Amino acid sequence: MVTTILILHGLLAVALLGAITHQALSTTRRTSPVSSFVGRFRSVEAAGYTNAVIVLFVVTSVFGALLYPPYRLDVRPTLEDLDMRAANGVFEIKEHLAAIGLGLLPAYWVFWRTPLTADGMVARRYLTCILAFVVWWNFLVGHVLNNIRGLFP
Amino acid sequence: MTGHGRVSIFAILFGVVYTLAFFFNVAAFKYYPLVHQFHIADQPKTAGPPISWYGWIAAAVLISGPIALLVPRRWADRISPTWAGLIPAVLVLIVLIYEKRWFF
Repeated sequence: MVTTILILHGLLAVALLGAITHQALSTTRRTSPVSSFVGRFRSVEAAGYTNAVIVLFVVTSVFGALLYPPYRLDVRPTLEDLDMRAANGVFEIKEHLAAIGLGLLPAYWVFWRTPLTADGMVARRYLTCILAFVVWWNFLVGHVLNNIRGLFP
Repeated sequence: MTGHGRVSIFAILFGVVYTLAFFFNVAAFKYYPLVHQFHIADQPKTAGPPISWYGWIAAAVLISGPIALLVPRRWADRISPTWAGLIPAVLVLIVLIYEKRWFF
């Protein structure tokens, strides 16, 4: 059961990563031509990703919350026994960032409501970039911790 | 822009309350996965290690939600939308700085 939830957690995180990265890049200033790969990547209808990002963030977080007890009982004590403080540290940051990200979602939804307003642009950019940072951090940390036995034998 | 005020207050307060809750380790409750029990008070070591994360989030929701709803809408809408993004960004930075204790 834990393995199934872990795989679903990882798959949803991939979808979330794609959606939030498209949207975050679309909020930055355009320097590359639309014909380039980066230009095409950012030339999306960014507001259309909002609901998907919210649903994916919440569901991925719920799966993460379900995985927390086995992590706390099995993985963390092992990391402590092996004196892998940095591994515990990056996970602590992961849980805090996920919580702060959850609290941002209502504001994120309001600022991305269409029609988009000019005076909400700065908040929209900040909120989207924070969520993108949170998702990237949590994705990378989750994968490193999941594979830590292979990475640091 | 109107209609953003209450969610902006919620976004700001949620982050602040959550950060304070984990900094001072004040959780609405703790979950003890070894015995599958939720408790408000700390349990003896025989109950196993606690998880405070759920309780910190609950504390942040329980405090920031009612406050955001109680602030009159026209007052809330006076808050610049920029704060809703800027303060959480600062909080993320504070979390990163505080948690560097794990690495050095």
